[in-house]
Amino acid sequence: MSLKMQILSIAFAALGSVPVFAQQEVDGVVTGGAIRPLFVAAPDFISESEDATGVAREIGEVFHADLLSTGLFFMIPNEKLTPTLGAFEENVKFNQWQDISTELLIKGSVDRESDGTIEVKFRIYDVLAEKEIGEGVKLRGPVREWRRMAHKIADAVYTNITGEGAYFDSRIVYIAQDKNNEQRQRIAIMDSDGANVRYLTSGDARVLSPRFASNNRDVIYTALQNGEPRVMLIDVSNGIQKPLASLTGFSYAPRISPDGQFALASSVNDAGNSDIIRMDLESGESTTLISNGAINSAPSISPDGQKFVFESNLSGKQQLYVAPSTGGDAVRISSGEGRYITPAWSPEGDLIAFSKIIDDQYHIGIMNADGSQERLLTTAYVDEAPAWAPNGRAIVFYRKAANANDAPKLFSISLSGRNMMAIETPEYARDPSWSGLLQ
Amino acid sequence: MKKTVIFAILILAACGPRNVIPPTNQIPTTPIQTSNITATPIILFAEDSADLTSSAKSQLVSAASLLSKTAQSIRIIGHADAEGSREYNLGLGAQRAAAVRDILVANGVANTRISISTVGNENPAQNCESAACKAQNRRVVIIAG
Repeated sequence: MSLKMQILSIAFAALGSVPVFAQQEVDGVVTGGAIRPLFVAAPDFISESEDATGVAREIGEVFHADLLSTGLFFMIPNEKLTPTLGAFEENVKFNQWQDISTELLIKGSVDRESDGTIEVKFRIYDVLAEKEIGEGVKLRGPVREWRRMAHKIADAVYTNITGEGAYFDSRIVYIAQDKNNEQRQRIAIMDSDGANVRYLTSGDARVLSPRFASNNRDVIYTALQNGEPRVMLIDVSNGIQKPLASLTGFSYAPRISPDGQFALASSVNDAGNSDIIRMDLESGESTTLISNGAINSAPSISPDGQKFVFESNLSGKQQLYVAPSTGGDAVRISSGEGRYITPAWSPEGDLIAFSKIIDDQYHIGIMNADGSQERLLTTAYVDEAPAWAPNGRAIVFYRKAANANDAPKLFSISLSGRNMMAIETPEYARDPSWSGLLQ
Repeated sequence: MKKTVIFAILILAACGPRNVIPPTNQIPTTPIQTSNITATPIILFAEDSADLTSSAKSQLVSAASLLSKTAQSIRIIGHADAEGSREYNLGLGAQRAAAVRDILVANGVANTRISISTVGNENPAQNCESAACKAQNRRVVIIAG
C-alpha cells in the first residue's frame, strides 16, 4: 500500500538562499502499519573548489545522521554508490540509481570562496518517478555555519518527504550535571544533534528547568540563590544573566509566553503554598492567576497564549489543569490513575505532553489538549520533563533507566512512540528544552 | 507505596553564629547535648505530604519551648525526596517548612525571628533506593543561630 505525502514549499531566507520547492506529491512506502525507510543515495557533495572537500564531507556526515535519526530514511552506504554522478548541473541518469534500489537521490555541491564564505547547492530527486522534487536550494554563509547548513539540508529533505515542519536547525538547552560532582549543575546549550555544547552558567548555583523564550535568545530558569529559588533570565548570545526583577519572594518554574509579552511562574505565598502568577515583562506588574491552598507548578502556555496547562495537587495528588492565562477557573484535564507532572503544550496547540508516575514507574505520555486520548510512549525508572521539537513531531526528555543512582541522559522519541534515540552529551543531562527553528 | 512516617529530633551544639546541619547518613536516635545547646530538629514527613504527625507536633512543641528562650534567628528549610518533578518538590519543601513554622509560632516563637526556605530535592541527605532511606530526604531542617 502506498501513501501520498504532500510536499510543501520551504524558504531559507536567513542564509541568503534561493528557496522554493513547488507543491508536488510523491509516493512514500507504508506497509502493514509500519513505515519502511526510504532508500536514499546522498553521495559526497561535489567540491567546486580545492579546499571545499573537507567541509563537503562533514556536511554530508551531519545531514546523513539527521535523516537517519528520524527512522524514515535508510542512507545507502558510500561504497554502494556506483553510478556516475557527473557535474552538479548534469542530468541525473535515473536508471543507474534505480539499479542500486535508490528511491531518493540528494545531489549537491560545495564551493568555498577566498573570504571564507561557502556556497552549498543541492537538489532532491524522486528516482522512481524520474523527476526532481522542487527546484533546488542554494545556501550561502560563513564556513563556520556549515553545521547549520547541513541541518537545513536535512530539514529540506524531511519536510519535502513527510509534509511536516522542519526541526533539525534548532537548539536544545538543558541542565548539565558534572559526572564527578553531581552537585555541580550548569545550564548548557547545544545543537539539536548534540553538537557544539557550551555552558551558560558557572555551576555556582543549582539550576532547574531552563526554557527558551520564543526569540530563541533568552532562556528563563530557576536558580537556588543562597539556598532560595529565584527566577533568572539569561541571554544565550552573551551569557548575561539577571533576576526577573518583578518577582519577590520564592519563585520557580517560569515560562515565557509565545509572544514574549508575559511570563508565568510559581510563587510561594505566606502560607507556604505555591500560586501561579503572571508577570507582564514590560511593566513588571504581576497578578495571581491560581491560588487554592495547593502546590501549583510547571505552567506551560498554549501557542496562542490564551491558556496554560499546569500541575496541581489540589485533589491530593498531582493532576493536570488548564486555565485562561488572563485569569479564571481552572479545569482538570487528567483523569487516569497515578500522578501527572511536567506538562508541555505542543507547538501546534493540539497536544499536551506530560510525565506520569504510576506503580513506581515513570512514563512520557501525550494527550489531546482537552485531556482525551491519553497515550503513554515510554516506561522507565524516571522519564521526566518532556519538551517539544519545534515541529511538534518529536519530544525530548531525560531518563534514569533503572534506579535513582543512574546517570540522567537525554532521549528523543517520535509521537508514534517509535524511534527513541539517545542524545549524547559530555556530562549527565536533564531538564531539556527545545528552541524554535533558528532564523 | 511508602507510607511510613519517620520522625527524629536532634539537639546539636551551637558551634558559631550559625549552625547548619549537614546531610546525615544516620539520624541519631538519642539527643546529643553539650554545654551550649540549641534545639535543631530534623522533622521527617510521609511521601508527598506536608502533614505533621501528632508525635512530630509534640516534638516541635518541645523544640519551641527551647527556642522561645533564646533570641536566635531561626531558619527552616524544607526538603523533598526525588519523587515527582524537581519543580513540584520546591513547592513541597516550602509547604513542609511552613507547617513547621506554624507550629513553632503557635507555641510561642516569634514569627519575626523565623524565615522559611525550600530547596526541594536538590540537597538530599541520601542518594539511595530503599523506602526507609528515601524517607530521610523528606525532611525539614531547623537552623538556629
